[in-house]
Amino acid sequence: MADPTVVLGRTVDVIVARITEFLATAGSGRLLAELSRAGLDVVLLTEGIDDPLPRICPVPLGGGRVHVRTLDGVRAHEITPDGPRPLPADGSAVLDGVLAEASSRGIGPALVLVVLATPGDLGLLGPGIGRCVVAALGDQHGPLPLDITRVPGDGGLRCLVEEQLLRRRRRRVPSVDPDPDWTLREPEPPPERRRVVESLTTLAAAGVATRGAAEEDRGRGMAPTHAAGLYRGRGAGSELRPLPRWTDLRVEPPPTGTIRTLDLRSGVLLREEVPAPSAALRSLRLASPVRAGVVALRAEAGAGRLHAGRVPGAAERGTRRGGSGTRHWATTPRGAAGAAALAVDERRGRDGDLRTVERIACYAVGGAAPRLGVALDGLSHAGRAGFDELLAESRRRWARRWEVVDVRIPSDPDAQRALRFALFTLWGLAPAGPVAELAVGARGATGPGYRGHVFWDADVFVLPALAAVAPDAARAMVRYRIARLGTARRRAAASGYDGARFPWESAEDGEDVTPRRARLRGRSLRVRTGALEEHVTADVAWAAAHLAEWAGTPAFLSGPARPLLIGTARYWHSRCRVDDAGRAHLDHVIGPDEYHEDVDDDVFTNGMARWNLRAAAALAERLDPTDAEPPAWRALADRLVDGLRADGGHEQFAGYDRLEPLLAREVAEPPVAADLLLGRQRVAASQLIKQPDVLMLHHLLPREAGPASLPADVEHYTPRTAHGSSLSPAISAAVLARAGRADEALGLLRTALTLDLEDLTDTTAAGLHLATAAGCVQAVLFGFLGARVERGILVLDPHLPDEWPQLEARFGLLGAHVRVEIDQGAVVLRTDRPVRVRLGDGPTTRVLDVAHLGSARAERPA
Amino acid sequence: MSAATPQAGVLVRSDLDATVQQIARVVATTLGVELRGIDPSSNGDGRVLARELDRSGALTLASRVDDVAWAVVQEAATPVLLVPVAVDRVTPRLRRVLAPLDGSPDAAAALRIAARFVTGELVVLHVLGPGEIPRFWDDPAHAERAWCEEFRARWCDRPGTRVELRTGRAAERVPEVAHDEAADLVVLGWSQRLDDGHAPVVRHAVARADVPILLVPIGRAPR
Repeated sequence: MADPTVVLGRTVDVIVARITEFLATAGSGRLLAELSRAGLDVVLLTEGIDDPLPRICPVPLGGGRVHVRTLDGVRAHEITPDGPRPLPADGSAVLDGVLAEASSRGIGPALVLVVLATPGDLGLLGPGIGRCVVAALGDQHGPLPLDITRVPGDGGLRCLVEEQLLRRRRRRVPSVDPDPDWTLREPEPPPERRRVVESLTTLAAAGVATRGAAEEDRGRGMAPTHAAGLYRGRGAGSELRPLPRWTDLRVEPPPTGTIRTLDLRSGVLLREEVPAPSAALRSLRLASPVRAGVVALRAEAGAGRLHAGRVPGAAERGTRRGGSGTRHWATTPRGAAGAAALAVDERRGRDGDLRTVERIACYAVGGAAPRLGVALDGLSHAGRAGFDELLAESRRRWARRWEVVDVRIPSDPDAQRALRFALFTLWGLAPAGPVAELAVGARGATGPGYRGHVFWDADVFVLPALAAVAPDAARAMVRYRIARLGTARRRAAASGYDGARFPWESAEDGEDVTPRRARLRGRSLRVRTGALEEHVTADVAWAAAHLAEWAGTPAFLSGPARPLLIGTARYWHSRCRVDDAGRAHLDHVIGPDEYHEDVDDDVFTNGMARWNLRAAAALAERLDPTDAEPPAWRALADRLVDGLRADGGHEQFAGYDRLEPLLAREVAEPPVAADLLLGRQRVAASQLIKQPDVLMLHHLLPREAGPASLPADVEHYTPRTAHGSSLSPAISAAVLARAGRADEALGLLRTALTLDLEDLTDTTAAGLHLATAAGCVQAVLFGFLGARVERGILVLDPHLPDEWPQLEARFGLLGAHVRVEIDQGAVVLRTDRPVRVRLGDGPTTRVLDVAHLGSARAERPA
Repeated sequence: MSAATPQAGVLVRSDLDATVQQIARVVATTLGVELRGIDPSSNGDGRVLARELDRSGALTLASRVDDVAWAVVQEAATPVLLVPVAVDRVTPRLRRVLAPLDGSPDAAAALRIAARFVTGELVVLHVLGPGEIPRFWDDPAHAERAWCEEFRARWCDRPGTRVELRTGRAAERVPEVAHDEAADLVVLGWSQRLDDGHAPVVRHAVARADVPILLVPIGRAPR
């Protein structure tokens, strides 16, 4: 018999074989039980399903499942400890059913081993077999079109099975399915791009993110692990705290090149040495989406090359480390802005010439003092589950995620994969259990960029996307703001105003941490965003209201989020100036278009404040009709200057129309940082804008901006937008799509989708641009799909580009998971709970499970 | 001089003025190597001197800017320390070195070659030309710091390095920043080609700078 460790040379997670072959293998029942205990699924194919069932598995099974399926795909049973249990028959080709079942657990076809027993099996199993790992028993097949591993007919199946059992027992590195629709493959980058690749291959779960740094780097360069909202230091210098390292390995000599494969489908990162020597370095990591703070790694390489590093590795001075045997720990220094603990359990083993390392670790994040007990406790639980189960449950969670949230664009696999990458990035923020709050910095926890400070990006870019992807995370984001209301009230009072004023940049304690000065081309510049970019206060309120409406949870707004709306409205009420004519103004502000500082009556700021006043008034009146404040808020809102011109469009701020009428293309092809190109003064004196301002109001508050003004505003501001902000292209795409300019919108969406993947900013190394990722999701949902929620009704108004004849979007809202399928204009909605839905201006329908809504309107000319 | 035994050191043209001699001495002292004089008249033209320089094993040759020097810099594989006409002062040590980098592997390699000359603070200058303006420049409080940080990490990740960013034409900005930063030395990587409008930054720096310039040959094109 051949060496059982090298039959396939890779790990699979499902084995498909004929039942007759399996039962002919000596000790088949015990073997099945062993496979099941090792977490492997076995699918046994049979002509007639009834006869052999009782004798398949006489001993108890483990975590892996055993199925019996008829070769016609009509009948299927699952063998359980209580006996056979019928499975729903799908009637599809047998392998399709198997692959769909595997897919529902995060297992791709390339992790399914199909054992062919007869020449006819190939045809019986259908075309899906081309994506599987295939082994042929015996030599009766002759020439075969697939890359098939041939094994002896006599004992070959046992060889295949034992190889898989041995690989698990010896803690070999699992495989991933390299399906390009689901993976990001990054060959060894040149040194200057290494940190970019580290960002792109970050694994994050429950807000703890570990960059894809090489294990053997052992902390050289950027700290690999951070947690959202865990800071050190105070004020403008506060920054994300680098956490103790859990991935260090000593590899000598180190590999000269590796390929990283980030598997979006199952949430793992595989790293493989190339060119591969006989005992190549391979590693696979996961960040558990199920258990907060739990991470795990397996690695293998030649026994003389691979040595476990000193783990945990310290990422900052004052780190304490300890432990004995296989278990070690580290704690960060105490800190008012938060501390962390890491506990690690490591097992080493051998498989022939290979050394294997298996590591399970658990972070406990938060609290002024490190909570080592929590980390050790989490590690104990994870350790009891074991690596294989951690991987399996992680895959299952990811499969569930993709089941309910996804974007499928058959004609545009690049955009589809990039959108999946955006969703993958956002899911890194999803909590694994109850969490008090979530602070989402500009780069999340994927890198130290922008010091992890929280901007308006979090409230109006990330949150609306998360509301459709991971609503628990969105709620935790609002709670972050609610918990800092006291600080916001003090800040308003210190400015001489009422209510609550939120800071432009925020960290742990909610104080304004915006730097006061910055270097600009050799000179020190006064930074004015902290003082003037005040729309953030209304943005915070808008985010809470949007979440309540989108999720269909008005009680959230009238309950925990109520003080946000009321406090911010009070701020605007005291902040506005009313002139002699009775018109209200917001003077001295910076809108989203930061090229123009210290302007009056910025349309976005005024519009957001107006909405804030009205929304708070409506809420307050509903809760207490005798409340005296709401009428005053409404009256002020009605007087607030809206910037509407006679032509139906808006003047971005008072005096904007008198500026030099410069268009973006007259200076350079957008996107371009026009302030760098022309200088700040020149840009400030022109009509060039950095990002949507008036159009941002149309995006967030279509009614407030007035739908009738959208065409005029799109026409006017689109050519004036330089897109010099990474926030700009995605939101512009959303607005353009809504305005019926879907093909133009797609171009901008592509820019946003590649912003990090192609490092268009040259700063992806410091972390992924979360707001851009979220903006892309918004562009699809709110732009191309035209989805919004109005009074508990899902309204769809799709506008697809010519390149997308089909689009399927899966997302959550109103407590349901819905799928919107558009095919050549025909719109179908599927839902797992009843929802009320309207297509465009059509009638409202209550959909219980599936409904054909009709046809999307044709794209309007610009 | 004898070229038989290559020896790390600093060569200085003995036919030049006292300022050049003193600057060469400062460089040699800073680097902790011997200072040796060389008389170009005994070696014929600049090309011969360039070969002598390469054979000598010296770290550099200090020279004023003249025809001989231009011939040497175009031929020698060894960095050459040019003292522009405007330089009339001598600093006691190399406290601050300015290294313009264009964000190419070649330029970074030149800086590595010249690493020994960087004994104090290193200021890396990157000039964004009209065709090199980034597409995105986010928050004004953070964007430049973040960009410079990444540029440093990519091209000159050495302790004590500061990155300065400017816009405009590099040829103009290099002497300006060298002056503003009170640099004691400018390190410039270059292709050793002066024909067809090549090396505008080198030409401009040599003509305008008031600080010695170390020209480091990189990516030498076949002649």
